[in-house]
Amino acid sequence: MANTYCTANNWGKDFFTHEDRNDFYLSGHAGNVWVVGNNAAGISWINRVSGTAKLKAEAQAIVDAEVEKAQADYDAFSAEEKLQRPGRPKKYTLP
Amino acid sequence: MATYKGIQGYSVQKLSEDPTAADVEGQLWYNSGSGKFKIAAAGAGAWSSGGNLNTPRNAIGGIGINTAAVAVGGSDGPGPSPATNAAEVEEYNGTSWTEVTNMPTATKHVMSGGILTAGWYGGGDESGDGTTLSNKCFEYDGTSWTASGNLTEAKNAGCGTGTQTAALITGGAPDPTSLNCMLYNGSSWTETANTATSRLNTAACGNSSAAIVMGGYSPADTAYTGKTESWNGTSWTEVNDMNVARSGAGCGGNGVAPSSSALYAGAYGVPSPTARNETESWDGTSWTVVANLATGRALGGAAISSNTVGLLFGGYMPNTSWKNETEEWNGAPVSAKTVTVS
Repeated sequence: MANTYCTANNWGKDFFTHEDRNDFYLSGHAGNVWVVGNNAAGISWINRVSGTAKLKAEAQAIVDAEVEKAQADYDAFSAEEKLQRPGRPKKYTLP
Repeated sequence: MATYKGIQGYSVQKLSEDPTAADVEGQLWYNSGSGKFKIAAAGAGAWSSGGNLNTPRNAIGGIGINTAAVAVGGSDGPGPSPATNAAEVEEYNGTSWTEVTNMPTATKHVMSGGILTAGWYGGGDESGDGTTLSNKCFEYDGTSWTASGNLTEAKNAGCGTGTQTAALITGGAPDPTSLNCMLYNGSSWTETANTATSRLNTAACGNSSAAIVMGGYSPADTAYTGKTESWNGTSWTEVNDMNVARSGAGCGGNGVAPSSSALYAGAYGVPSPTARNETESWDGTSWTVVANLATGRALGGAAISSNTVGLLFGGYMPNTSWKNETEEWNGAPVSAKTVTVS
């Protein structure tokens, strides 16, 4: 498995470092979901940031719920407000 | 046994501890403390996390550099609804953001440039819904905002670049042209030659005499564009495109990067409205894709010094809410690496 999943709150400076970014894959998503390269450095990072491990399906469900909320917000906008935005939010699959 | 000096004709310097790597790039030394040979070498560029903004927002104006940046206005959190304008201004010291003097009028999508002690912003959307665009310009001295000469037209969602005495604004609404370019000399704005491609939410770097403008949404083409145009103080020339066509990176301004060394990160692109996380580096001739942002986002603020040093803050993921996260770019970090010997 190339990636592993967790939730963690990005506190800011040094939440992830330059060295982290060169040591493992990392991408942030809605709902404080992080997709983390599944290697020793990635696992060590999850522990360092007190991340809560998630199965991919669990992580995907958190992101989907955030997108659904954003879709509901978008649908409630007036036609003029919708023109101010790039389009209705869409669900996507985590890597 | 032959010595290194006997073979090479010179000695490797002997140091009791490693020097600051950035000060000795390319140098080799023997660390007598650890008993290891070391070399200071540049590594791969990457984004790391910086301090979080106090106020999550998007459509932010950016001023300054990565250790002395200013985030100006924007669309207030938590987003995406309600979309009220923010008047907050925050300063970054390389570690954390501090709220300072508010901008005169809560405004999003301003165009901005300069440095923390000599910054500026112009235009923007004062109503939050695009119905009241501003032609005002304000200068910042690190403490307070002072009104300066008005833009030649009210506009928002273009891009600004340059110093407080040699700035440029191009692109932006109102539609349909989004072409108009104007120059600032420290007191007044003057209309000048237009870009070839109309653009909204575009980005730029340089100043009024040498600049590039890149990316954005082209109303004429009804598509995101990767086109790049170069400004020589008189006219625009189309140069090499970005690799990924997109819109809304470093939305208001692009710090103080020269036209020969730029960075473009994030933005939204296809399939719309996807938050892109790609970063591209401009060397004065062409764009190269480098390391991705950790979190893809559009309409953040930017404070870019060159293609090796930059800051991206706030913005939003089109799928969800406004961001307060900051990422810091180090494009060529120098570190001390141990040399393997046999």
